[in-house]
Amino acid sequence: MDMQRGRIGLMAAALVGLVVGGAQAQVTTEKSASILVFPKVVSDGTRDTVIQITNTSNSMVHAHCFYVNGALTFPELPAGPINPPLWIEIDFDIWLTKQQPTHWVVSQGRLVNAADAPCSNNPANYSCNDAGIDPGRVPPVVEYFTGELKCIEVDPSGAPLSGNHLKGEATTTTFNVCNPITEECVLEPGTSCTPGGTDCDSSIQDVAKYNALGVIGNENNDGDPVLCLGGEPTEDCPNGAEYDACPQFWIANHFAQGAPEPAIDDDAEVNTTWTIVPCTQNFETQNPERVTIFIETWNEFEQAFSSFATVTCWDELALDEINEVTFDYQTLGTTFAQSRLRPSSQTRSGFMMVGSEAHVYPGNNITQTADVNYHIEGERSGPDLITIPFDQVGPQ
Amino acid sequence: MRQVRWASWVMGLAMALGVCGVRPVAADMTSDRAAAILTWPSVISAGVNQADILPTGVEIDTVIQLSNTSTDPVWVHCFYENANPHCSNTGEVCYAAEECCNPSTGCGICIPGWNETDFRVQITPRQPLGWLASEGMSGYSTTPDKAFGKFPIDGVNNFGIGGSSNAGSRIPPVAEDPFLGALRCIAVDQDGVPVDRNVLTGQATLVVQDDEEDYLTVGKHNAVGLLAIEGAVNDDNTLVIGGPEAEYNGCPNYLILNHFFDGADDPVTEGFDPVSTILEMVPCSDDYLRQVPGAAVVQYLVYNEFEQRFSTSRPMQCKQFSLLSNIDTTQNERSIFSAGVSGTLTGQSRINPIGNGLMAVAHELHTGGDLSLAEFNVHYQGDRANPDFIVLP
Amino acid sequence: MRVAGLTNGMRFALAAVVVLAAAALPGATAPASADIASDHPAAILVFPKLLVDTANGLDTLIRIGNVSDTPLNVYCFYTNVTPTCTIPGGSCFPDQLSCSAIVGGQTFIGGCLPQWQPTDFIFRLTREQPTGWLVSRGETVNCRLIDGVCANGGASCTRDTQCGAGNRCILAPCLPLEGGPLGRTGPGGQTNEGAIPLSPDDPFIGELKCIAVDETLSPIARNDLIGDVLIGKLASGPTAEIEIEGYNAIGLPAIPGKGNRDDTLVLGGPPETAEYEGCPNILILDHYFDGAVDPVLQNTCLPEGTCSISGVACASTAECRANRCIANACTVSGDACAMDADCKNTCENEVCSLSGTTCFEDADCVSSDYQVRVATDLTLLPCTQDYEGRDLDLSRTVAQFLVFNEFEQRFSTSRTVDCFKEIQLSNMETADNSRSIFSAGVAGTLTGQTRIRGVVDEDNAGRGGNTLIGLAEEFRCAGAEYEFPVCDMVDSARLVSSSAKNLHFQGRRPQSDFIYLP
Repeated sequence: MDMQRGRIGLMAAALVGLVVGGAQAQVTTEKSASILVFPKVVSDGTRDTVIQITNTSNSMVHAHCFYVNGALTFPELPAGPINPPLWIEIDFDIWLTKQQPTHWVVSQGRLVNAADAPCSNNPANYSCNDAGIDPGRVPPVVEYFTGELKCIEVDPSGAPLSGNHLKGEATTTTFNVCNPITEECVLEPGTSCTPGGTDCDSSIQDVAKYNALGVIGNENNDGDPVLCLGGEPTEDCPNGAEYDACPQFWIANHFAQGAPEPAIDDDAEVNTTWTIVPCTQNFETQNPERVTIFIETWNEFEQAFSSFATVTCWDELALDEINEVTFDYQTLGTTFAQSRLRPSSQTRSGFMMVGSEAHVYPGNNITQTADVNYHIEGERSGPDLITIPFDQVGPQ
Repeated sequence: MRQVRWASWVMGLAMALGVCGVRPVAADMTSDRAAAILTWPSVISAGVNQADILPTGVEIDTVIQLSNTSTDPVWVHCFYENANPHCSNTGEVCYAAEECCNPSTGCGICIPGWNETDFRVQITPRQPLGWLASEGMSGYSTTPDKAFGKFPIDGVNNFGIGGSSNAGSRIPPVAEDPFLGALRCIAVDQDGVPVDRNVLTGQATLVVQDDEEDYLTVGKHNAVGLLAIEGAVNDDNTLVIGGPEAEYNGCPNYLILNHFFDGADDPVTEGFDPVSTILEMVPCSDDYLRQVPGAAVVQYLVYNEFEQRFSTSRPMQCKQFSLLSNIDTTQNERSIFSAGVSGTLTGQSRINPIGNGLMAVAHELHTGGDLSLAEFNVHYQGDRANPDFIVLP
Repeated sequence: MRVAGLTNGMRFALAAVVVLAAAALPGATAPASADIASDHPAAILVFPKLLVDTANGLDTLIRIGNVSDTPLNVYCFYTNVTPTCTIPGGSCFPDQLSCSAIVGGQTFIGGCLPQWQPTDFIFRLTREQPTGWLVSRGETVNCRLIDGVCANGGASCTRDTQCGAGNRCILAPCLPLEGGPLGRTGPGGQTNEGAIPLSPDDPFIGELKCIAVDETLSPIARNDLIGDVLIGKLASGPTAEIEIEGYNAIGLPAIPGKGNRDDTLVLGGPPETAEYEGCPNILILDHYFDGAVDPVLQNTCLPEGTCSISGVACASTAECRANRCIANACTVSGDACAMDADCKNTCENEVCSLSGTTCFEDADCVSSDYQVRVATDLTLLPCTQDYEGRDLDLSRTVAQFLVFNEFEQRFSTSRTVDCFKEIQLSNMETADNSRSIFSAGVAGTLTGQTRIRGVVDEDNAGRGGNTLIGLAEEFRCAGAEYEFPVCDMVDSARLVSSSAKNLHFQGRRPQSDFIYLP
């Protein structure tokens, strides 16, 4: 009788969880979530990134964060079998008090120092980068870092928690310095320069910002090291989905590659780059996930084109690197295009992405970028799994 | 075996409960999903030689993108909202009080304004469209390379899937130069009746350039979407946004903005490069029939990185386009949104409208060297209990 | 009522239960009597008038203390009522009707628009802790990191020893118990939290309201706050001296056990709903009528040969009172002159030479002798305030003034108080001070009593009680006899002395007032 009641109680609890917790929803860029993904985090001498994370709740929140460096083994050489992405991860913990915002520059990290001077008018102190309650020891990234940041909300013991209390933004600043690989000024296309020299106009800078992608957690979270994004109950995910699923489709409204910039005369053009990371990640085995992406593209004439892209661990792909014909303005024939991206049927992982549009103004020798969050549609049947090393989860 | 039976029993009951009316939680406003109503809170256009407003040679324009994500054509009814203020003495567009002062007429008052211009567009399946706010879109260019500013499918020389086309579509340029306003597009049927089709996505790219000074900066944000509730949209001209009789998901209870405090030094660049943020908001409610814009008293709760909290409030109507540090005072350095007062580099502002709901985008200005612009959508939290209304003419 | 089937004993017991239950009902027990006061700790403090104009040496020091032995969170609202000029760069401080500014090298005249802009902040006081801050500077939890100023030269410093022997390093106010590994904590391990912003404008006029709250920012019935204000000006009056006035914050005590901890604070009204003591039905102001000559303060010639107030060289008291020509300037009126006769107010061409009034003979022109006369400024605030919806209609109150002179003669007038009214008494009903019922020349006696009552607006029934609270400031202004005294802490060229005082309170009214918190 008691076992019967207990079984019924379990069923009822699971029922509630499924009905309430298994809400049909996908990643979000505008609501607080339990997992934040910053797909594009760059600190490579020409660019740096400021990460902003906020606790939107009235209680303290802990988060376990991972930097994943997807830079090539030899950054100056093209990718290939002997030059794979590094896929090196560094993790750290942060704590945020109620409603606390925090930030850090990825190249500098953030120390814990109670003596940080606050910003003030009197005496004037506006260079107050470290002012505030330090969220924890945030390490600086390595010298050449191109990758992602992932922050997972955990409880004080370190177990993943579906609190849905985190939101974030990333601001990428591009400096007009001499790119040592191309020996051209980064923001002055076509301007030759000497690496380390002063040939480039340092007054030109470029700032772009995007919202972190949030994965909303639900009540099924059992706090174990395997985070289940979407999907039905399986051996790895006995409770089924603990977090919302990765999206089935990404919808990118973009300029055709090299399309004329309509707001600027004089041969200005727009080039688009997509930064893509897989949803599934195994930090325990350190095996980088590979995802194949099928892309359908429509131009303004409603004519359809298709292409593929393959991403291992992390990649920042210009449209003409994906397919130099399909996305080209000459091929599409219209300024704008709509692309729908989905994981191919043989790929076991979904993916997340952000876009970046570079508006190139050759006449005045300037490039400026704008980052953009793309739209999503549907959810993967999943699950996508994020596996955290078991010794990073639990009492610290 | 038992586990499988258990799971299937539970699933069956879950489905039954779903049929019996366990209502899913109504999702909020969105900027990353296709929707039935799109709002671009920021549409800005200023041609060259707006000497009173911009430095000589500087041009600003907005590239608006609108796409149909479905495999069926969709009609949209769009409204440009012109929020330009005008001088009470000359009627000229003004953005600052001193622009209304001249020797012959003395000083007038820069009075906020609001009026709308609407137009209709037919979008074929999967079709992306884009136009410049200052030019609009008219005429047809039916073969590649399509001329910018013209529709591609005229329904005479070429057709889309199922015979669809852009026939009957025309997008006017914005009503004034300079122009500060917003755009709202609503999915409708052929007769102009709103439909519950969540198929529209949109973006806006703000381009600021100066030909003479070799200067360019761009920022991009997504249009804000209101999702239609399936089966709830009726055929009257009052669209109910949220609330008990909702036809569309409601506007959020809180907007959450992560920002640098104004005047804070950019932590990335060398030298002193202050950062500031412009918050641009429009109300969820608008009465296009009676030409009455929405209004709200906006409460701001501002948290710094010490978890210290300040707050203030400010009424707004029709549109707010303001530096954060001008929300509570005209003296920026004394504002609770300034770094010197708040004490840290970044902060979180929770924005709660009393009255109509709000939509917002933020423009982040980095002023080291040349101005560099980044735009981003704000976050949302909670559902408003009271509905908003869009009344169509 | 007869309850069938009960024995007498059961009925008695039932009756006893009913009586006891009634006694336990809210409102059945009379709450402890504690009226609004400025000399008792309270849960809400109101500081009706704050002034900042650092460019002219005017600032306000606020002091708040926690009189209990447990920490207390304080939720405060600055309200900025500095009118805004329609032309950027123009100033309407403190209550101008018009303003001017230079735009493109030309001077333009603009209008002054009213403003009501709240800014709120939260801080925590530890047990028995007092704190204070300058409104122009604010206060934060970062004492260690704020540079001070040496008292003997203005050099930047952090310690007294940096300023030389016997000199002080004057530090900006701060909340000192910031805690942490490098900070200080109170005896019980308590710390301060929060920060107090500086005034949103400079120059600034406004008010401050502080409410005792708990950790969740819910209002709490702790009558543990006291507060007072000092308004000071660096160079004031004929001899450019420091002038200071002060007043106590007005305290609104909470009624123990009555608050429901929501965001609507109910002040007074029906006992079953009141959460705080109500604002008074009547405010009573005993005052000099404006323009009355101060019976005590005289400009006399001191033994060292200078006038006591004006500082002018003298040989006798008569010389201190007379308008004499010294160094080509009249000592009282300041007009240019060549001889003493030029400083007499005489009738020339039917116009008085100094005062400019119409005349037929010299006797028609009021003397230019030196006098110290009194002017009173009154600041009134509605008790009901809506910080959430900013519905200023709820606050708008018509104030009725009954003015009694020493002959028991009565005048009356009224004035609308929108959300803040700061005005000289003799401007209450007219722009011509000398014709006001508040002026000595009209009232007929030196002093009077004014009873101020907020008129109930039936349209606000249930949402506001239209009571008022306020502050009076008495200024002694020096000048010629023909000049009506107009001076205050802002316009202080003629200010001889100032003092601020709280008004008296009388009665309660049945309607509640409300403070709507955001």
